[in-house]
Amino acid sequence: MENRLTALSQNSDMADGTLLVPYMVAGYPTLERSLEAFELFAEEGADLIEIGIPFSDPLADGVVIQEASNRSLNNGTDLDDIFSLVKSLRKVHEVPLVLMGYTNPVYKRGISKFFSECAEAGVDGVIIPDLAPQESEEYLKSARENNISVIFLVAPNTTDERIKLIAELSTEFIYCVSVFGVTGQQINLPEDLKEYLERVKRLSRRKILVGFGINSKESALKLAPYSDGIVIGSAFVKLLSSDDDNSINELRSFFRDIRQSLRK
Amino acid sequence: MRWKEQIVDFKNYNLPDESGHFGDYGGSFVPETLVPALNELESAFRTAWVDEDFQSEFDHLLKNYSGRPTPLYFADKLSSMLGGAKIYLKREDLGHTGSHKINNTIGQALLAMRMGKKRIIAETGAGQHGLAVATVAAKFGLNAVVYMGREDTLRQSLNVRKMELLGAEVIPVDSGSKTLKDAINEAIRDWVTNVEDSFYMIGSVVGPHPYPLMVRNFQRIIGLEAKKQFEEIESAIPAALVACVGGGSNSIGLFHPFLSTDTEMYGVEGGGKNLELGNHSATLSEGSPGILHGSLSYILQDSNGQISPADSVAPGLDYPGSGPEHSYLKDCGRIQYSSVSDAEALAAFKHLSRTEGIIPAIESSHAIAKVMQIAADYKKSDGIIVCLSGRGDKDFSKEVSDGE
Ligand SMILES: Cc1ncc(COP(=O)(O)O)c(C=O)c1O
Repeated sequence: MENRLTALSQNSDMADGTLLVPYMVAGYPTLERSLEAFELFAEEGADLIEIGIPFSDPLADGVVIQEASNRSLNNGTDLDDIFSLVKSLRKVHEVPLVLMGYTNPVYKRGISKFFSECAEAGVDGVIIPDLAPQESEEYLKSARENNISVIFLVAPNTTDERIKLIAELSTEFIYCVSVFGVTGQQINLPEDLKEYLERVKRLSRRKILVGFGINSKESALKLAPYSDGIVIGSAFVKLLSSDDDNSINELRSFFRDIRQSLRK
Repeated sequence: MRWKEQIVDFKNYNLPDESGHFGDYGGSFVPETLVPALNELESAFRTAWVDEDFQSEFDHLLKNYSGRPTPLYFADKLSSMLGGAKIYLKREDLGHTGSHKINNTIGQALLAMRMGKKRIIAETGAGQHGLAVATVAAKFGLNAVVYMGREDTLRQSLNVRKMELLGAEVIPVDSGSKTLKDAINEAIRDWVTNVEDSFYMIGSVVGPHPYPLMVRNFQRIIGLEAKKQFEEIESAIPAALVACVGGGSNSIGLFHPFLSTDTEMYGVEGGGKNLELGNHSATLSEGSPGILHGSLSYILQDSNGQISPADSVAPGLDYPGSGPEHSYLKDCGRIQYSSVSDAEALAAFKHLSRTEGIIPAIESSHAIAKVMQIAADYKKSDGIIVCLSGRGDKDFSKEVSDGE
């Protein structure tokens, strides 16, 4: 079967609007509630969904995702739970699903076991922020064997040479980190950002997603002209801090509003 | 592919390789933002390390600022009480700031200045590394920001006050287990955010390449001196070396120059209350390979790959990770890693104080406890060098000074 990310990258066109990519920590505030959030994203027209694997030491994340990860771990969330969650989403939805997590839980699971479980559950890709390309050989090999896409990150200080290297390792998308820093910080969209995103697009010839610090319709709209997709994480995670229907409803209307504004 | 007890030719030992690997271990597992910074650091370090001006400045400061060489002291009373080998203490406790940590911070400060970085980020557990950072920052006019687990700020409050006196900003860390691991997380988050103007001064042979290589090279002076001093006194090489292992910098500093000899080596970890996961810091002797803080090495983790909190009476050992070079040396069987419990370390703390009039750091007391266990297995003509990595006047929490 064709990887859903391949289809998405081929069929999407900036002329039709900007891809919206929501992120939520699996198992937060509870496993059931996070499943509701992922369903909501799918129902409301997310183009790609990032499912966060909680980790004890998320060093690329700010406090919001750190706390959400902790809460999820305290609930006992593990990879078995996450694969079942993916399977239940897959019963109903065809939206591409990407797991986002740190290297160690993947390493500990067994690299090839992890990727074959991904394929079996219906995962299309992974994002591993601390898996630098130079350490990724074994991971990429297993990913390819299982038709799973690995989405690498680039940062504003990534050199041209390295962008080209990363592009070679990437199949569909490259994730552009918007700022120097961790997730969930305020960004003040400098002029540089435009130049940076254009540089990555030009050198990589891949579709690009931009994320870190996009927390409102306004910031999403400001970046939309320069990117194929917008990733929003902490702002959604924050809205779900209490485990009740009210939060889910708020999340839905916030999401819907951004979704609409990014369509052309 | 991991191997056990593989025959490695230590006469030609030359790790890490170009990409920072010690066999399977090491490497650099970091967010992309840090890659340019690590490349810049590596090239600055490689250039400096072969530059005579850098070497002579480093040498000069180690001698005149820090007080090297530190003595190799024959602990005659301790030796005769134990009734075995002759025990020599490498007196890192007598250097400036009271521990071996200053060797590394002098080296890194010289490098930071060459790179034009004025803001220094560091983590600290016991406060000894933080103190050594604050010290060089004061001397060289750099701004130091030191992350320290909230729990450690309480049990090592004297060091917090010293760092503040020296002009460093100490930031208590409340995330996770509020100890060294979490302080490193916060330091890395700060570095990712301020990567363009900040220098991350890591305190042990851990983290992504080139830190394990660089910190080891700055600490090798311990072993180089000890080898020469022992040779002058005994006209021989020591039968064994013993050092405590937190991240592993004082131990690798002592061990590395001896890797090509027949000397036996013991790395001693914090055994904590007992060896159940969560109650100890015996990463190499009880843990398993995994990725923490940018490199692959032995770590303490659960079956899902979540990092387990460590525990030890010694804040400087209270860390669920270890240096990648130690992981490699463990797998080849070159170094024996084991742990001693909190209680054994506290007893050794008191014992050395009473027999030799030397109050050891509670971290170093772990090495003393180990030598007390093994001295009698050696001949009276054998010599054992123990790294006394720091002095104990930081350790007067009630728990520690009561002993046992
Ligand atoms: C006196 C002393 N010894 C040992 C250590 C452990 O560190 P390492 O294993 O890097 O030598 C520390 C760390 O804070 C320390 O303060």
